[in-house]
Amino acid sequence: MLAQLTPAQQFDAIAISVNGPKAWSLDLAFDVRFTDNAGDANYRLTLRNGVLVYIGRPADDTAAASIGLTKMRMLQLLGGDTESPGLDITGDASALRTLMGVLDAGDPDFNIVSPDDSSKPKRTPDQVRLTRMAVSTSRTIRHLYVVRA
Amino acid sequence: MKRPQPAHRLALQFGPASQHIVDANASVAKKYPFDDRKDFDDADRGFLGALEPGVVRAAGGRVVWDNDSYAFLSGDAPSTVNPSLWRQSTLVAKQGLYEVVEGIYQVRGMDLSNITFIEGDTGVIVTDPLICTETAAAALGLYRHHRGDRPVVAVIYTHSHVDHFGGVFGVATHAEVDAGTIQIIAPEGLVEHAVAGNVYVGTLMSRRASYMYGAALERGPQGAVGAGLGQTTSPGEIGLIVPTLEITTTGEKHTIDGIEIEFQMAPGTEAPIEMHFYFPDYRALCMAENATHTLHNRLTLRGAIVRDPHVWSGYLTEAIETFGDRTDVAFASHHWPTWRSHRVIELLSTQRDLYGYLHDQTLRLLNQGCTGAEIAELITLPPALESAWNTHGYYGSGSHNVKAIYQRYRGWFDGNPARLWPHPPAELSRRYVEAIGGMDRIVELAQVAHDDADFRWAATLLDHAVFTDEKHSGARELYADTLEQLAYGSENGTWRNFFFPVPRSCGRGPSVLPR
Repeated sequence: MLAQLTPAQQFDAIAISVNGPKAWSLDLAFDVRFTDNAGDANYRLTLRNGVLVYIGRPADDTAAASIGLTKMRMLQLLGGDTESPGLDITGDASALRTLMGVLDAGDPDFNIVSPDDSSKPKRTPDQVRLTRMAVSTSRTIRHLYVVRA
Repeated sequence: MKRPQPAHRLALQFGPASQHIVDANASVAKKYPFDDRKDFDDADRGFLGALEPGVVRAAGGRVVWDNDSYAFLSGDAPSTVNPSLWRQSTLVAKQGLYEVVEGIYQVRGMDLSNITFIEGDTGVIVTDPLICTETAAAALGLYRHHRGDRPVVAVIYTHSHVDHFGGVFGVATHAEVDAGTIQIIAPEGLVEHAVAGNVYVGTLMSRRASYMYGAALERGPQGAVGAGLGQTTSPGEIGLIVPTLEITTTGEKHTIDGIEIEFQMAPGTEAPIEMHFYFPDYRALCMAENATHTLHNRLTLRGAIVRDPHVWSGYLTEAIETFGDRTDVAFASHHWPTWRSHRVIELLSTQRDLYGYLHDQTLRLLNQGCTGAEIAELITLPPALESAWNTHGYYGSGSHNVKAIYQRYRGWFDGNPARLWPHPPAELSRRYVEAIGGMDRIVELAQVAHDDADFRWAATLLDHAVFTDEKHSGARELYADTLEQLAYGSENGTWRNFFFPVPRSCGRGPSVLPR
């Protein structure tokens, strides 16, 4: 399913995982372009006031970093992977890590019939993200395989 | 479309603010930048003259608009009004004809909404002719008094809400539209949505709107001070002339009476059918109702289909990209305009970030397992947004908007099985009252909560009490006083109005008392 996300939906997926209070003092701008057939248009992403905003616009030198990647690599990035090859970053690479550092994944086993138990050690966002990355990447790959088959 | 009229204003016996509310309101006065007067400068800019007296009557003499009834709004806030709402109301209650730029004029403070006049080669284009014939005609009269007797050549409805088309017969006739001397311009699909909204659920909407806008409430420091978006609604004659020109596409351009207009569609935002437009000749941008000086509603308290909380910010981004750099002034159909390109971009960006933030954070927390009611208490705005007056919840509120966003994505059910099939309100209340130990006991506990300034808990207990025995005078009295305290502390104009109209006893007072 993730493989079917349009660029706009991929950016939305990032936007709704931004931890507002952690991010609201940041002011970041990125140019993102997809290098495969998902479209070669440039998108300007900005993070300000804890809100990630995107718009199709030509790249310019006001972005902290310019990122070229394939759609598949974008999906890995959504899973939290900033280390694997396939990210063509010019400019300040730490800006991307800063962005990734303020993303919270969902909690796949949250409480429903009892209140949140504060004594239970809560998994850190990083732990949650790592779990989710493993899950979503494997699902994505499976899905891509199905789609291509 | 004609709506029922309240016989007269509700004159309820309101008590004073409790010490807790007095203190809370005093702390608001210290918390926000009340010395920032830019909004007052903008609201006064271009003033050409007011309607005097500021009263509009129907043919039979009945008053449909009385802006002078808000004359008490000046100086510092009394203890019974949240100072931030008092400030907003002071701005919103300004009435008169204002020049936006030479050639564009607005009448503000003559209804819930603004009416805008754009001068063309031979006549005038009217944008958003208020709620009713009477106020629209009075506004056109005031405009003509100052600008001469220009014929109306076109009417634009920005969107499908009644305060943007209902007074069309005050500025146009069917004969003129049929003869082609007046064009009616609207975004495609407006009539269908206007009719659906007002007819399908019109009874419920009118009933709840009477609470929300407080049109029938006595005005004053212990009564209605305004609805945040506009002061209140006008109970006059409502009409609709169907469009002769429907706008369908972003980028579409039309020249009307020599004036070029460039349109941006914004469906699914503040109304299902809505559009922004730009006048290159005047370097002026009309933002309809999507960038105003308040946090607006994702779900209005009168009831509506939940608005898409996501596309709204997207269309604001598009408006900034498309028009921002070439705009000298942006105006909307509520509140005052904003001048200079960088300030317009700042306003649109702030509103965009506000709506984006509420949406994104609600989804983030929803995926962490929080319910709407929980998220509503968890979300805090970024300091940079909170310091801007236009992000304050005078009309919408962070609380009810967050619940609306949850509702939009997940519905009313929060997943908890115990909340899947509880008893309906009266049945539930009877059982709660019994479990707690009877009416006198629940009122006693509510009194303790009230004394501790936990007015929300007191209101919950008393809701159960009144739903069990509405004639219990102690319950009724304390319920009214409890909701009054919530009203006095509320920054939101529509919350204040909702909290008010609970009569202290049954069978006393005017027959229009809310039930």
